[in-house]
Amino acid sequence: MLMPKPLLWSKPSAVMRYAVAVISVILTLLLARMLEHYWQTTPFVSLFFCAIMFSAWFGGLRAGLLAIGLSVLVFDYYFLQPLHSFLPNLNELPRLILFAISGLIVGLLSAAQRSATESLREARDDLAAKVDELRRTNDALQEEITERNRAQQALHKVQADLAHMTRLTTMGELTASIAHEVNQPLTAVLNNANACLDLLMHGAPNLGEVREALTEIIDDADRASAVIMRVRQLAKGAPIEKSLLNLNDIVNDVLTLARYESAARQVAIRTELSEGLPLVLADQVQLQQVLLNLVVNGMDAMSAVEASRRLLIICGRRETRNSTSEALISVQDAGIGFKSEEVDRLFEAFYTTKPQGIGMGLAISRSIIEDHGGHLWAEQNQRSGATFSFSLPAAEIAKS
Amino acid sequence: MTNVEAIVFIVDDDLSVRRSTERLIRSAGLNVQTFLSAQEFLKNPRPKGPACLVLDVRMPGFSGIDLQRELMQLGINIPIIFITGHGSIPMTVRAMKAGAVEFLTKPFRSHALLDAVHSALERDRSAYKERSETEELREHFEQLTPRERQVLALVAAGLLNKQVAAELATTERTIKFHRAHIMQKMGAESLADLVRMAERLGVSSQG
Ligand SMILES: Nc1ncnc2c1ncn2[C@@H]1O[C@H](COP(=O)(O)OP(=O)(O)OP(=O)(O)O)[C@@H](O)[C@H]1O
Ligand SMILES: [Mg+2]
Repeated sequence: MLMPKPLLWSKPSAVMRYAVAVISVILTLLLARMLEHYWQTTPFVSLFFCAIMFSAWFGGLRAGLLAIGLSVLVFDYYFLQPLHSFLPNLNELPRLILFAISGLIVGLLSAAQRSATESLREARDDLAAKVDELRRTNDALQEEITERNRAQQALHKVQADLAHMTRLTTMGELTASIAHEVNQPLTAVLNNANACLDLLMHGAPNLGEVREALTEIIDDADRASAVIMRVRQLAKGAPIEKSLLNLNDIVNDVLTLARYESAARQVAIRTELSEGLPLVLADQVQLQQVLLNLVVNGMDAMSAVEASRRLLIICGRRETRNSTSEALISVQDAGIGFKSEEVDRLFEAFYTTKPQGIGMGLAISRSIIEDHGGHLWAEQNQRSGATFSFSLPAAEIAKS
Repeated sequence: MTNVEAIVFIVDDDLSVRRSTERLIRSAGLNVQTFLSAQEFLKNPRPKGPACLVLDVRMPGFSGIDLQRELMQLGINIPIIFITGHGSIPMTVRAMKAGAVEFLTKPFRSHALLDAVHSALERDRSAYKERSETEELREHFEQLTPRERQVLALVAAGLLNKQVAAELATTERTIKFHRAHIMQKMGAESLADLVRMAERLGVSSQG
């Protein structure tokens, strides 16, 4: 709000302005008459200029003109020969005219100053109003930004929850596969441990053989716990955490979990991974999820195809797009493929052609990849089946 | 050990399971030979002695069930112990009907496997005895001349020397001579013995 400043009060009302002009002229008259009476001096003509100046400054041009007019009349009537008459002597006329001109100049100057002050005040008021408005807009904007950030955070949270949920359903399809990956080393551990007992029961045990068995027990226990750790990581709804990753490792992790499932479905999986695949900055679990989903989809697409032709090829290589380096992973199947008009629908949420499908797999995968600044797309193969690929920007490795 | 000549075949594509199962069975004093796929098992020559097969059901490509079917078609009657990740009941029933000895689910108790191996070998040992005797007989039979085979078939059919001679349009003396030769070649101790051998070989006059 505006703080009133002494020199910049707002314009008084018209009545007030004229009243001040009249009163100041009257007061000047009284003062001048008193001075003349008590000191018997020539009247203080300059006093009228003060009244005019004050009136013009206080009330503006018109009040100033009123004060000038009144002053000229009063001056003529009370102080010029013949006194008490509005008709001045001829030889007094120059004085009257000079008085009038001086009054006019003083009044105009004062009024001009007044109006300059006024425009200044108006400009300042304007500015203040503008500033005020700007501040209000800014506040509103700030609020909007906070609101949007909050919405974005909520969206991210929902997205992460959804990703977690679909991850669990995908893993649900792989339970037999995962159990197998734990049971294999467990079986080996039991076998080796029992073999050790047998070996040690003999009179002169073959310690070399016992040591070998124990070493294998340790290796297999490690293998089982690595699988469990991987599964636990996937199952946990851990917050997103980006780190430098080698996509070859992601492919191997996923194949460990899906290997048995693929054998059960009589799908051969071939990998063509290039050593030159650049590192990417990404969340490990989310990328595993994307790949897992593409692999499961590929196997699904081939279930209606003759067993000898069920081949899934996972390729990894470096690509250069617009002179920036990218890591590209593609999953190529020999399945039933899709129709070209379907290609955009595949990525829609809840679009599915499978009786047990939810239709979230590809939608989630695409949002994960785009969150990482990459692309996920589908192509039809020339001969049969489809290829789903994603690319991620290569991580900038600090030059050391 | 009386078991020395018996052998246990293991077919499993997983290295650690294969190696550890081998060690377990070996430490129980048995001979073991391992194969990493069904194809490899079929391709390689195997010793003839009493044997059993420890077979992983789920293997990429050629599954354990496929191998069982293939062996049956080849007339190889080896007792099979199936190892499986998760035995579905219909699959188990099918495999058992086709002659599987045991169906173990991973991770199995080592004693369960060893017990199964022992009983499978026991079963195959008697089968093997029969097999090898028949084999021996067949080898002997192969040494007979076509004429002698004819005589054997008729003798086994219960004909007297005289009747055989008439049948083959020759003298009784010649038949007596053939018979003595046949008894010697076949290693038969008596006529009854010879008849039993002929039955076992499925030799009949109808040819
Ligand atoms: N490799 C593929 N070949 C042909 N069609 C595919 C392939 N992958 C996906 N699709 C099509 O895209 C649809 C959507 O796939 P998406 O992974 O999003 O869901 P879904 O697999 O049906 O179900 P879920 O949510 O369980 O993954 C599938 O139903 C299928 O019609
Ligand atoms: Mg899917």
